Amino acid sequence: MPEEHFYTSALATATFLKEQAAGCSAFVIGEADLLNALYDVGITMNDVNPDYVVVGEG
Amino acid sequence: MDTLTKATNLVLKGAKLTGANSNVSGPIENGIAPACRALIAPIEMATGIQAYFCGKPNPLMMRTGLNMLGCHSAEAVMVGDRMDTDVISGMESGMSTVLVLSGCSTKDTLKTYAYLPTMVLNGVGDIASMAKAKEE
Repeated sequence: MPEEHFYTSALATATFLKEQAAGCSAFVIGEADLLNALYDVGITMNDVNPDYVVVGEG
Repeated sequence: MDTLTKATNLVLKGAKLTGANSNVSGPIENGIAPACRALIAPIEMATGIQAYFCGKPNPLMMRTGLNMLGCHSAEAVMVGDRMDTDVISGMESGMSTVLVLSGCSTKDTLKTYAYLPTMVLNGVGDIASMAKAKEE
């Protein structure tokens, strides 16, 4: 089954951030799936002054 | 710990606190590991700021899924093994709900909730056998 048939909480988080603040930055605590989902919607990683702190799984 | 301290100070400086899901723990090989809800709790306590959770049971995730499918909630079914995330989010989004007993719930689990799923099945395999029976 192709991956577009899956909708995860990581993808829901990415969609939420894209719609709330397109192009925002985030400090992320989480695994690769969350990081990839955020990268895919154009969110940049920032550990100095991010717009969001995003927590997934440790 | 360093990461939590970093996150705490970034939230105090104005970063908005968001969690992917509200799972308190998840299964690992030799027991359970703290999951998103438990990991974000220390940041919430230290800052006094509540996180916003995007995944289940937030109905936002159900509504976005329905939009992606181009589907009305009345034509959709939410299937899951948890009352407190899967069934509640389906119900609150206007979908029919199926609780499967192949995961973390049993028949007794139902007694502790004020809401019920539309249907209870032993597992997702039952859906295929029911569809097949209906065809015949």
